[in-house]
Amino acid sequence: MLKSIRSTFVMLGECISMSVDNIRGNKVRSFLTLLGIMIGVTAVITLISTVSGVSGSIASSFSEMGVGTLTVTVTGSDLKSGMTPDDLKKVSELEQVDGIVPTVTMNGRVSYGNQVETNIPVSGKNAYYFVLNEDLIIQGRSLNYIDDDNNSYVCVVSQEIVDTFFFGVNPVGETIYVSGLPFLIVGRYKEDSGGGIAAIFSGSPDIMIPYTTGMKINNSNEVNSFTIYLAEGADSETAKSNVEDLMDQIFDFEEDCFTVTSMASIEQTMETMLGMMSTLLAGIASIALIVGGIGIMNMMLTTVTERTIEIGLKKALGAIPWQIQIQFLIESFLLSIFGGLLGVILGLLISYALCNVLGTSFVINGGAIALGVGFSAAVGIIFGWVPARKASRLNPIDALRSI
Amino acid sequence: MDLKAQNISKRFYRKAGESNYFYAVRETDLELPSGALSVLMGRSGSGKTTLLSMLSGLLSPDTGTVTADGRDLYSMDDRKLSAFRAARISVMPQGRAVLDTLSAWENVFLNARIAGVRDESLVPRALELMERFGIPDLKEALPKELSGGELRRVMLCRSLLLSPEVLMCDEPTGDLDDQNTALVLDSLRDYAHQGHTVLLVTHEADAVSYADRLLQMDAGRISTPDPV
Repeated sequence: MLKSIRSTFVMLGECISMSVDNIRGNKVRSFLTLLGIMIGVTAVITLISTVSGVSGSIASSFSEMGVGTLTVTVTGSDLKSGMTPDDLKKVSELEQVDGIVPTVTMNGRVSYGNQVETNIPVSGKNAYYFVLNEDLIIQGRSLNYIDDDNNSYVCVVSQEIVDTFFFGVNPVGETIYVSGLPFLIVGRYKEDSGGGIAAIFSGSPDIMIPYTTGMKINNSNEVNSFTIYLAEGADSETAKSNVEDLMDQIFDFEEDCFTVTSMASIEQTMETMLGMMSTLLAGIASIALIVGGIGIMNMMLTTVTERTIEIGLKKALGAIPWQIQIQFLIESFLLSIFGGLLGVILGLLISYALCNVLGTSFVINGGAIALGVGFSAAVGIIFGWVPARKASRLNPIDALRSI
Repeated sequence: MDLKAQNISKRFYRKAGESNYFYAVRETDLELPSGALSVLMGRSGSGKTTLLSMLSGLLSPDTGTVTADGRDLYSMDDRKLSAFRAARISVMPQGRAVLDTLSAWENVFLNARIAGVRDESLVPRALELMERFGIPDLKEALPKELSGGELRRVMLCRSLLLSPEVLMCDEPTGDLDDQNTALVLDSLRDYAHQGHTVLLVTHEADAVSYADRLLQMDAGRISTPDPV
């Protein structure tokens, strides 16, 4: 019994050894056989790794833009069309809220002396905005709480305004006219105004004025959009729920008066979408793997015919059918797995190059590698089965006749 | 091991004349005793190779039985019969029956690898056989680098390596010169006289003088089963 088990293991070892000998002895044919699998796995790894890299980069961009923020858009009701400064104060006093930045935008006609420019983007900001972006002001001072409370006619201007109206002149202390109203320039800010997602979505303004003054120019005492900055460690979903509760009270529980969007949920939705896209792309690329598998089967079937003499000789020398079958299966398995490994390496290299070109982070996705190698191994066994079976059933006499 | 064939026939499909079949072997009885070199002679197409194939367990006869020490070969399933042949019967087919991807040395060990035999004592035996047949320097050579005669001797070394109880050789001296032919025939007779069953299929006239039993085959029948 023990001898028989040992003999079986020796036979199995010989099958593996003969498979390796055969692969090594037919290098060109072996390479052509594994080419299909290699290309399939390369496609899968490249797609999944690149999408992972893009996904990671988008997530980190979102994080930079401010995951700890809530964006509120107010459509209002018949009785109340927006949020007053007092309403905003109530929101800013919530436990999880660090501060809020209202968004008041307009395009103004700007003049200084005899020079006039139209359609200049003007944004109303509050003092908290400048607390968040403390490095923004590069000359003069920022807008402060006193300016907010007094609806002051003061402003800070961008370098572009300075270049347009004040070439060679210190702008701070000068008076500029916005929509016909005189504003005292108190500071100059960096072109990259920062300010989180709201600033990115609303574009970079050229002039910033107190938001209360902006509301006055717009003939309104309400704002319809603002960003809430959450306190450190605050849970965005709890904060969102608390803000919604408070705003329900403010709008007297009227339906559809506002929407509160959490950046974390946008990020999550984005990740889900990217995940779906990644799965879809991997699915499409898997077709290439199946085509590669069929390629292996075709090549192995051709090989069976081509190797009739070898199979016949082995059977004539006493090879048991399963030995022949196992040898062919091992061959197709080894070719597939080797093709898979080459595909993984090539896929990672291409993905690395793509990520560099796209400027995204390169991520080695373990799941994708496992999928590529596992799938190729399965393809090898499944598509190797038919040729292996055919080989094991070959009549040795037919084979020996052709020697 | 004594091999015995009783009333075996084998016919093949071939459209020729009025019949769709022809008989390669027809109602033949034959006994191959151990300890004797049996030489089967006959013209090309007389059915020698078909008979050898049926006796060695490679080709199932249409009628009759083949027994080895009383055991019916073709009542065994494919797996058992293959294992039985690997362990006890060695066949040396006609032509270039070698694997091109293996060296001469690896080809000599092919039987052992297939039978799952890994025995260090086989190495000196293989060396001794290659020495005896004059090919000790060709261990690393690939089949494509060998002449027909050298290949025959590699195949002979392979057939003898595991010291099978039954050895069947189909035209083993086909590509050999007179000197090597004599060497091979002499070795086969010695091997038979050590108690093994040896069947030599040939149309080489020189083989007659080495035969312990001479069998003449003609049109699928053994016509002169006379001892020499």
